[in-house]
Amino acid sequence: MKDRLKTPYKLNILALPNQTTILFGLIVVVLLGTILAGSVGSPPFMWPLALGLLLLPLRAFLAWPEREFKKYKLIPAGDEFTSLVKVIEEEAKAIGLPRTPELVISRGDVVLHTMGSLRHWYIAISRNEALRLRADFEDNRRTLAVHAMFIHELYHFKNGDYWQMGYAREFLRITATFMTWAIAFLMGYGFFLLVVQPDILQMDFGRLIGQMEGLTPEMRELYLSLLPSPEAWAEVQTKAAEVDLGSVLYFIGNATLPFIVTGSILWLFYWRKLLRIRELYADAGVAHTQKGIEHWFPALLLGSRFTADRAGPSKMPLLSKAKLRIRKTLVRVRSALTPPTFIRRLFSTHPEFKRRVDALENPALAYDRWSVTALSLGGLALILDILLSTPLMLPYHGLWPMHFSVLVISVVVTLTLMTPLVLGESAWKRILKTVGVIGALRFVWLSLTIGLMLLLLVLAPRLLSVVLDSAIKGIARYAGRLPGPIVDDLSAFVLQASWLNMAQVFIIPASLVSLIGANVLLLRRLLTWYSLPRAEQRLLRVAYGTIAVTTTSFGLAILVPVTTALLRSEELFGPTTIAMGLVGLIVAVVGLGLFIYADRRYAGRCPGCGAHVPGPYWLGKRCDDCDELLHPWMIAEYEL
Amino acid sequence: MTKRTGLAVWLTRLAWGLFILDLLLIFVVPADMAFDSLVLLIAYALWLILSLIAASTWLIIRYRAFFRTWPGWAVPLIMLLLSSMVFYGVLSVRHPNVSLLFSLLLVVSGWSVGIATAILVWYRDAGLSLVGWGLVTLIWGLVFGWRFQGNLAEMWLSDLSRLSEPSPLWWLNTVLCSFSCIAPLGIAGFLGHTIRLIVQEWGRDRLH
Repeated sequence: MKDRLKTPYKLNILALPNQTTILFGLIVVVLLGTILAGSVGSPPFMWPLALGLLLLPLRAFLAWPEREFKKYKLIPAGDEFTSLVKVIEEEAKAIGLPRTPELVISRGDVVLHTMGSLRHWYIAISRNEALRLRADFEDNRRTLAVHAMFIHELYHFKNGDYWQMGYAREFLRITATFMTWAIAFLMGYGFFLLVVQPDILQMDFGRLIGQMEGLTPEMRELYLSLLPSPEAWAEVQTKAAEVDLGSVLYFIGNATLPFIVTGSILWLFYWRKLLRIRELYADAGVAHTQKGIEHWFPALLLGSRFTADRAGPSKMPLLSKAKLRIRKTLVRVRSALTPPTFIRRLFSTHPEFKRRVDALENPALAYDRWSVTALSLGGLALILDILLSTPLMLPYHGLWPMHFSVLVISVVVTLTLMTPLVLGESAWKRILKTVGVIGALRFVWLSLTIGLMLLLLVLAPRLLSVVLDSAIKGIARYAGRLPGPIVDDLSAFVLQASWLNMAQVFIIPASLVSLIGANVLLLRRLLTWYSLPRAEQRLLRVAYGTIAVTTTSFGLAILVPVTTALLRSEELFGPTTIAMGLVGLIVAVVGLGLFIYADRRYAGRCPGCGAHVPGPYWLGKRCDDCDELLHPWMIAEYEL
Repeated sequence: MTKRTGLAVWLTRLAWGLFILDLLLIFVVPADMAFDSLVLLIAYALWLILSLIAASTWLIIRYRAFFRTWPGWAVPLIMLLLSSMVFYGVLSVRHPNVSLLFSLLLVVSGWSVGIATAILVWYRDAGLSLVGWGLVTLIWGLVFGWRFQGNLAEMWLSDLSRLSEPSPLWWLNTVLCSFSCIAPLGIAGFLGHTIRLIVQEWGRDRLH
């Protein structure tokens, strides 16, 4: 095993699941998926909300180039930059892009970057930088460095991260704007109900029309016909009297604030991580295309100023002693205020130079350590739990509390395990450690809430009753329509809530280990399909299909009965549960049948000589008989 | 000078001319002048209203570079608010000719808010924001109005029978008038820009 891990081959990270895509999927699933889930059997405004949050970011993404054109006053590169345009055309063709991005120039201060919509791609650059690049291109020593810079940018298109970044940014922005609007409007609506309630209860339209002067009987009739009928108005008055306005306002805060908090966390940490990771993939693209990094590193180190060595030394103005003192103090204050490196790293949008070099030396390092994956996923699972307990999501989450966390997390963990599988490392330890951390985070959170509840039950049962009543009113969709105390038997309620939640602490990790374990077994086997035609294109697709089938069948055939038995045991043998379980079983049987059929044809067979190749795959494995390199496309070939 | 530019200049001169002529009529003709017939009175009032509307429409279109900015869009809104205060008796104007001017301004600025909003949403993709934040303004306006002025529904119904008297709901009428322009135009602008973006995306042409 150790020999395998010391493989001299470099992992081709471009052939494996793209981490940028995984992060993008997570961001979108956490926010949009929860809203879509909340649309199941919810009040009518949920569908427009879900549809709006799906389509508005797409619309904003389509308008992205237009906004950049206006913001930076961009114009197409003229004849003077034909050489640079040709480099872009040449390299776009070489790396197989379906369309060539257009070079656009700004007179302002624009850092070289990519942007675009689905069908219009652009590389934006400031005029000064373009002139410097042109000069470098004409210098034979630096021509390839200019190529490297553009290849890096082109790989943002090739990897698709430009649109993922664009969509995710708009998605987070629109969610924040929409929720801010929703708070402002719904709070206003709540206060409006508060101030009009006494008047509505006393209002009599007949009397009001009667008091109006100068109206003919016909006009009075007309006015009365335009106003609500006495019966309809009486109904409005009854509803107005029932509404508990404090609960309505509590409901509004509960429904919207979690989205703002979650959106902010995703924007602060996950989106920035997406930005950092995409750079590593673009770097890998340069190394693949140029078969080395000797031209890319100088360009990366000096950025857009890699011609700075030609410029003369800058002339420092002579400063007076007082000014020097002020400057020194400012520098000291600035260094004192600078946050520690790990915090800066967390919020940075580009990886550090050393990390980029390390990731190119050993591409497996582009992936996070298991602990980082476990913590970020465990944190996300907690966010999901909090988010799903909001009034908008509860109708769904109350029915299927474990589905979302189990299925989303298992897919992500499985995808991140592809790398150790390809490297021939053991995946089981990683699974257990990752799931252990995720479960522990959940356990700590639940222990805190349940512990607090038990403490209150013993020390202050009346306070607990009030807290529970207001909490349930706050998360009930019909806030204010719940007459009387909600919890009759406080002890029974606390015990049932504790038992149900604690049961989930064990069921969720067990489900995760089973599902991820099944996926890992199948993927390990899938990696031995050496004879699969066009495996470099198809193997990853088959892997995605396998994960989709196992996840779907697990969600239907196992999680549905388990959840039903736990929460609604009387429905366990009901038609819905049985039908869902059956569909899950059919999907599993058909999927497994197809997998076994393909496995017999392609697994453990050398594509060169057709000989049997025993054991699992690892990077750099060769056929014992003909020494053919297996899955050569998994290997990156470049020199450092 | 092209034919089109020539027409634009000619129309602009005409619009300014109409403005000056109308102002002269408003201030020169006594506001309480007895017209020989009702037809003449109606014709005079209609002339003032229609010519001012036509002139302001053209001038907003002509100077759209200003009116497509937020401060430019706010100008007719402020005019509407001011003329509404005079019309509903919040600000007292004693001179009958000035009062007539503000009465006409109320109609013209109400129309201009619509034209300026149309210009704004034509050039800026701000339709949805306008409608959304307009709704927030409306609901909070109602909250504060109801809290500090009393039962707005009753006041509004009683105002219907006393149109000539000063009304405390001058602000509500202004907000409703503005919002009735903003809502349909904002939605139309949003849909229009959406269609434009889709066509642009699937069209062959580049953005520039």
